[in-house]
Amino acid sequence: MMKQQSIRKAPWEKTILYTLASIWAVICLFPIWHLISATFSTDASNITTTFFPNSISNGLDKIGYALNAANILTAIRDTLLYTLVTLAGLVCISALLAYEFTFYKFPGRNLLYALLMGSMMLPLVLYVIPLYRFVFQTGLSDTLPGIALPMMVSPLAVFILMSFLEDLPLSFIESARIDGAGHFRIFGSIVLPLMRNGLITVTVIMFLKIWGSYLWPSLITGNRIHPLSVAISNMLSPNFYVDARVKIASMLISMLPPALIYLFFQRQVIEGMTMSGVKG
Amino acid sequence: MQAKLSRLSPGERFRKGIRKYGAIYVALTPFFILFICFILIPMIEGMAMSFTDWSTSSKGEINFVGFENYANLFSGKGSASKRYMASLTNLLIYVPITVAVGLFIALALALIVSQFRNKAYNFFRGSYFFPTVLPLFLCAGIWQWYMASETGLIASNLAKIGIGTNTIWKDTPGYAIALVILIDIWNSVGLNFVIFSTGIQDIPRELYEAAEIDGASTFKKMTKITIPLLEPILFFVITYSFISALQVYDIPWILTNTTDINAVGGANQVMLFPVMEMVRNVYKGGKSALGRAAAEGVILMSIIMVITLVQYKLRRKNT
Repeated sequence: MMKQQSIRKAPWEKTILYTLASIWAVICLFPIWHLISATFSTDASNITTTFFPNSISNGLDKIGYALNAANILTAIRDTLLYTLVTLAGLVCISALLAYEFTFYKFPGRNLLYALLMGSMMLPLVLYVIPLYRFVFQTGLSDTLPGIALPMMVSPLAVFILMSFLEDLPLSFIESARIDGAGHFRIFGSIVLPLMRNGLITVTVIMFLKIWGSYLWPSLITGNRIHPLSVAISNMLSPNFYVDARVKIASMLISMLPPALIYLFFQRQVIEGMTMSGVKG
Repeated sequence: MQAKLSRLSPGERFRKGIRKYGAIYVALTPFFILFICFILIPMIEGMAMSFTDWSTSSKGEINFVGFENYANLFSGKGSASKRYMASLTNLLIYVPITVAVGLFIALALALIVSQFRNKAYNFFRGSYFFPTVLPLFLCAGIWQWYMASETGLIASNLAKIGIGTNTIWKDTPGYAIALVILIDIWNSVGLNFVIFSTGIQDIPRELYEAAEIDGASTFKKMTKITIPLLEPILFFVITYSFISALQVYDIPWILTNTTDINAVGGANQVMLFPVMEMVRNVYKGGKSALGRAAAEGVILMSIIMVITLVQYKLRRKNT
């Protein structure tokens, strides 16, 4: 992909460029290492200047405390549950929509399409208050459907899936139709498997987005559902007294899922996010 | 793109329309039901309710009050208006700085890393993108730790060289906004870096070769070839950076989060932004609280639309 560009450079020029680039890389990556070191260190060591792990057992204690006493385990369970439910719904309805919009023409198509693309520019903050009141009044606040249903609608996911479908040759669908396959049969057995890369990309970036969301979960949840974002942000507030190492351990735990996803799906994550300009 | 299949189907007429399109509409239904319930209606309701005295306690009796909510917000009288004006002032400082500095760093890094070979490029791209993947609540948490006065790793070292000595960053005017800018940039540089890098790769290699034959320096090649050809991408990135900066919420809310709802935005509202003020109105309740919050949403939407339109117009003029 990257073009081999001007490699004939003076050595000093190269050194400066590599140094500058490396400084930002350190700024980006150092906190991961630092969180690990600070968690796995003895209570006696200064938490801000511990750059190497020196006590695995104390770290495990703190993680255990964070998970159980500080309720991070409950938060992770709840967050995972609503994230997966949202994702399942989001992927199904978005894939169907992308299929219809890419391959078929029907009355009202242009209007619906304009509505969809127009709403992509309208961020959640613009309608979150009436949305919150609406869900609250239907009695769905602090329930799984209440938190998940509104997050399932993602014009962005449809947009990404459509751009993956655009490369598909129509001959596949034409020949299936001649063989007598029905509308949904074509979708299930031909389009869906061919959409595989798009589905992975959408799943991965939407997972990151929902896992990290704060405004909506914090508004709509109460005593029953405990979003991780709310748990961590409460822990960061000065009213919440907790051992500093437990705080760090909790952050380390909640960093794991996004970090692992990034590790295994780096290409899809970068591709998906830059396609849309969304933020994690 | 869209019409290809319809030509295949036999020439059915309107009577058979339902049979022809039925399956399509069935497939569209789940998405658009949710879309109408959770985006379209709230959007319209928000605009309508901004002209009423809607509050958390009003059941049936919601009264039309015209532009009263808007007038009150900009009147400068009362705590709600003072807080809102403070949040707008903060936004006015925050948005241009975070966009300009963030994009400058991303562009500089993209120009530097584009000089490297594939392996180095992939390594740096992978590293720079990592903070973008992290949830904002974690970015806020990590930097709250680093920027704690006296003890924080970064804040204490900055204090030694005279930046923010004896200052609690989150409570001090100026420093509070700088803190939000710092965290936002750390989080967003990766994304902009990748977008710029992709743009740089798309520039035809021959242009550089021709320039090299003419004896152009690296710097000259950057200013005469790379940056002008990146212009369309720059426009796109600037627009969405502005739009996302206007909605700043997670980071400052978490940094100033306490049990006291009036403490949102920190002491003397040094870290207060419009979306935070909107949410605070909902939690706090009181007379016209929701109407006021809705008006604040509409104001923000108007700002976003104006920016989008202006940049769209500018872009058309340039191309």
